[in-house]
Amino acid sequence: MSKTTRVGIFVLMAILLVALPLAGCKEAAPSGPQEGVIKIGLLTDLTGPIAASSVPGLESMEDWWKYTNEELGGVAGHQVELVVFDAKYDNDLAVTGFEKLVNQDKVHYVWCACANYQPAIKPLVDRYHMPTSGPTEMAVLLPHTPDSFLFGSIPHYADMYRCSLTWIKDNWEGADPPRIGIMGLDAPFSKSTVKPVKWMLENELNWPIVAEEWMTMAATDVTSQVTNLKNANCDYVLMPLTGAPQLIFQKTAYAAGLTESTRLIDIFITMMMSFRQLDPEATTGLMSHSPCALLQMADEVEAIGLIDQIHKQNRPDAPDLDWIRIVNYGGAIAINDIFEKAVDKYGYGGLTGDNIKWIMEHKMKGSTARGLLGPCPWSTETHAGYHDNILVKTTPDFGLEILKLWQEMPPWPKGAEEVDFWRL
Amino acid sequence: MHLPCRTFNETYEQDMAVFRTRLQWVLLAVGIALGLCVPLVTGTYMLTIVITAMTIIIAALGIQLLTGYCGQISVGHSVFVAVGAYASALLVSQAGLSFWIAVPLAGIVAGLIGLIVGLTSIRLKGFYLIMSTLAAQFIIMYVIIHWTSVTGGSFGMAAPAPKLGAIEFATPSSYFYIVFVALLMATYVAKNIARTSVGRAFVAVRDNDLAAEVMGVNLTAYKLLAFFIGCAFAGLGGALAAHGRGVITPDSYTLIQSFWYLGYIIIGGLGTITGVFFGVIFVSILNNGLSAILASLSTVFPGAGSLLAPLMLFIFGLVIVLFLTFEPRGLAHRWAIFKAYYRLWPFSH
Amino acid sequence: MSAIVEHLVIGIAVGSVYSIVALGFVLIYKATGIFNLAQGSLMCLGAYICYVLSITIGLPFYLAVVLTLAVAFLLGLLVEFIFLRRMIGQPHLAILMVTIGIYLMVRGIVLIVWGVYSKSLPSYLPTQPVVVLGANVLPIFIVGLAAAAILFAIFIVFFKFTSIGVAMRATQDNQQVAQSVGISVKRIFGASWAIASLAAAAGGIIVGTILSVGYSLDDFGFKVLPAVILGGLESVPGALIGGLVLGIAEHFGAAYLGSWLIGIEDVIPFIILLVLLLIVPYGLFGLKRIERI
Repeated sequence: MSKTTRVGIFVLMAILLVALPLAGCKEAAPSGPQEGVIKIGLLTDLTGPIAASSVPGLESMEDWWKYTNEELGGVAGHQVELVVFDAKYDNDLAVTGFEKLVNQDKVHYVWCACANYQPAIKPLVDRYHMPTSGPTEMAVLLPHTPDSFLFGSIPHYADMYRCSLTWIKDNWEGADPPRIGIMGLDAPFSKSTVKPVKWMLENELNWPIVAEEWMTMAATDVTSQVTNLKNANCDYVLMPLTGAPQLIFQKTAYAAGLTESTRLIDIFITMMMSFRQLDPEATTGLMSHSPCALLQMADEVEAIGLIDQIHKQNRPDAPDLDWIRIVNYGGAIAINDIFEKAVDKYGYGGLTGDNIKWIMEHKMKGSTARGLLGPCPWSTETHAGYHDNILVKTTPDFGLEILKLWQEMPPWPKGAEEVDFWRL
Repeated sequence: MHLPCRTFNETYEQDMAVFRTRLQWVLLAVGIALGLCVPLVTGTYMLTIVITAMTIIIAALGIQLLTGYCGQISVGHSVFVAVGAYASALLVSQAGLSFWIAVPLAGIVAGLIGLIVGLTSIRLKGFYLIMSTLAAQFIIMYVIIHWTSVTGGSFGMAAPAPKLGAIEFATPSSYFYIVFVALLMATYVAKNIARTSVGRAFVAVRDNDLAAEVMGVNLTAYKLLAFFIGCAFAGLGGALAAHGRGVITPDSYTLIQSFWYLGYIIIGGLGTITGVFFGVIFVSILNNGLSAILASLSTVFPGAGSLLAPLMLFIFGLVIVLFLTFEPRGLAHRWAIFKAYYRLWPFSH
Repeated sequence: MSAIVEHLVIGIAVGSVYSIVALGFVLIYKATGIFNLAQGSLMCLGAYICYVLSITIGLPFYLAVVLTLAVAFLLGLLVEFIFLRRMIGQPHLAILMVTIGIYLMVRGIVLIVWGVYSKSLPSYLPTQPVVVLGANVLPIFIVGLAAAAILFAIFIVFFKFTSIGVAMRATQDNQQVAQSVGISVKRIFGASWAIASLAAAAGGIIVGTILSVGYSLDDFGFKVLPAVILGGLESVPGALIGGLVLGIAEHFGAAYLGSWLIGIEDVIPFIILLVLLLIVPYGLFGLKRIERI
């Protein structure tokens, strides 16, 4: 056959090769749960710098939906399916991922597990009216429209610190006010936490901020920051960190002896303090939002990675520790709750006894963990609210004793609402 | 290029022509027509990927001219993309310029900043030049992230969608056309730079700068020109990408992204314009394909998400390594071999 | 004044760790002309190997360290044989991308096998900081400084006086001539990767003790790039000086500027690098090539 015919056939094949996949991905009209399956898209970072915090989140999600599907028969009768997209901490990839989850995988809800992606995906959330929740109520920091579909499943980190600082204020016994240090991370969620907290310290509490240090996401050496914090003789260091940077900071702080004189406060430590109030002996098995919370209880430091050696060193007669990634269940439970109430804006309540029981049975069985803490979803309607902490104390033979403690967050004062400290 | 029988080059223009035979012109027309039909048949997700790929191609044309043709290895390319994106967003939202003026201006701004960085190339060569461009990457990125009053810092800034009279190009399907036309124009410019005296001077500088200097090629001028042009293309690509997304954040422009710009042209083939297309399309397909596989596998194997994601990363790295091991000269070379094989079959020598 | 001395001491301590990692870069570049961006990955693997040997298998720590170095040596040979052998003679940029591919692959493997949680190496040092010239320096940094000194002494002697070292320098200068003189270029490549991997593993063990053994250790490799260039790519003493300068600059930057210029310590090394390169284009100790253009 002639040359033209051959070229023509070749070109035709090439066109088909390119066009078919493109056309095959054309989306159909959006719809509700099809064939009884609810799809939840998870936009997360599984291989990048904050994977240490995100992977437990993923695992808890998977656990939770498995439990929901098998034990509870799904959500409102529908089975739940989780679609995972790893955006590797890259906002461009996150945007592409969001498009994919919404348009191609046809998810009904998106859980954006990394606060960093939220500014980038907000325009898409609004365009597609896709209910999306992020780890924090960062929606308040973005140009906020009343019809936003971007929810936070936990209170803003500044609110959590407000709880912690309130607790410190109520329990502080020294004559002078406590000396506060801050260890910030060069990431949006951290910067947006530090600003209001500093406002509160300077304007409401009048406590001295004796040191303020910053680290970057890629930092591998924070010795100078730790040294500065140490030299400042802080009573408490607030550390809104996550992922690998948090591990590095904790490790360096412990090695430098910072933790001997100073208490490090992770974002969710309100609950830690509340629990300690209930049970001063309790030092084991406590976990905060990220599995890398550093607690200082009495003379002991517990942090992931260090736990084996330090625990054995300091408390050779204590039973083995068992880490439980509790609070990540909070995120999963929040979505469950949100979803069951359909896609309108709403407020919602706390953990129920059944939830706790399941976590206890599945995750703490055979362990010597002494407690379980979980943050509860809070009201997205009002910016202030309660932060219910449901505490469960266990006995070694796996008994269950449910306690409840409220650490109420006093609402931010009038002046704070006018100060534009929610904008960076 | 290889000409069919009884076609001879009798004039200089014919010899230099990119599209020489009628068949090639027909294929070009058909290709463009099909390209224009893409938004009609594809979904929004795929369109976003295609638009992103097209803006990356525009930026990668820049690095091809700078590194592939002129031999000045730059490991800071993604920061010039960032400069273009931010410049364009600022010009549109702060200075109130229209998109159609802001985007080319942003390209020029990025080119000028590239020129300044390129001043180091007068003194430095090889890996030391790499390091100075690396330094530029970090320093400029630092300024962008921390100059929050201007750039919005880590929260990013809004890059409004373009308007032409009453039409707003806010959806991917409409924005596609703008980027497509821009891509055609950019390729046209790049190809012509490559085949005229400027391109020849670049190649001379790359292959043996001592000989080039001896021959009368003004090294300083051409190196700086290469930086200007390369970074201008990057800025253009960045600006187009920014307005397509609507919001830009500094986390998109990392060091690894710079390495990938180099990767696109290496995988595609250094020193060719078609290589850019091959490289970007190959890596795009690989990347997005693996993400798609991850998403489907995660529904089939719930509970394996934390294992599958690193597996995808591993496979990505493996494919790159295997590809480069077996074809270090890139896809363009493979394509040339394929064409030759096809043309000469069954006499394949 | 004492604050400055303190910062200087800690800067040197941290810098010595950087210089060990930088050494690996220089070793490979010196012998093969390849810029190995996967050096951090080799470091990460070294740290994990030590973890496996000392904790998972439970060997005594000093034995584990020795074995780690041996395994790292073999690992370097293996990586060179599998990935880089075929790339001899190929354009340098292509080899650069292969090393990036290796970086991605190792990151994937590490995450699959060991997951995201960091691991701890056994504590083999007293935990109390040692006071040096008024600064509280952790014992691990003293170890790092000692290790750096030993490694550098060994390698300086190695490259100057042993026949393999000289052969490596010859290979880097001109592969063809080296071959014609009878040097087996393949063996040299293998050896250079092997000892670079060994140096990386030593650095990995030290960094793993300081920071915990985690999947993001491989980003450390990118961090020391300024140190490598500051000292000149082809110079072993240069890597040492470069690492120390990097550590000091970073530390001073973080200490004095870090509060009001957040994150400046990541950028200061590059600013110094740029300024230095414009004055001394081949780094402090790089081989000067006389060129008039």
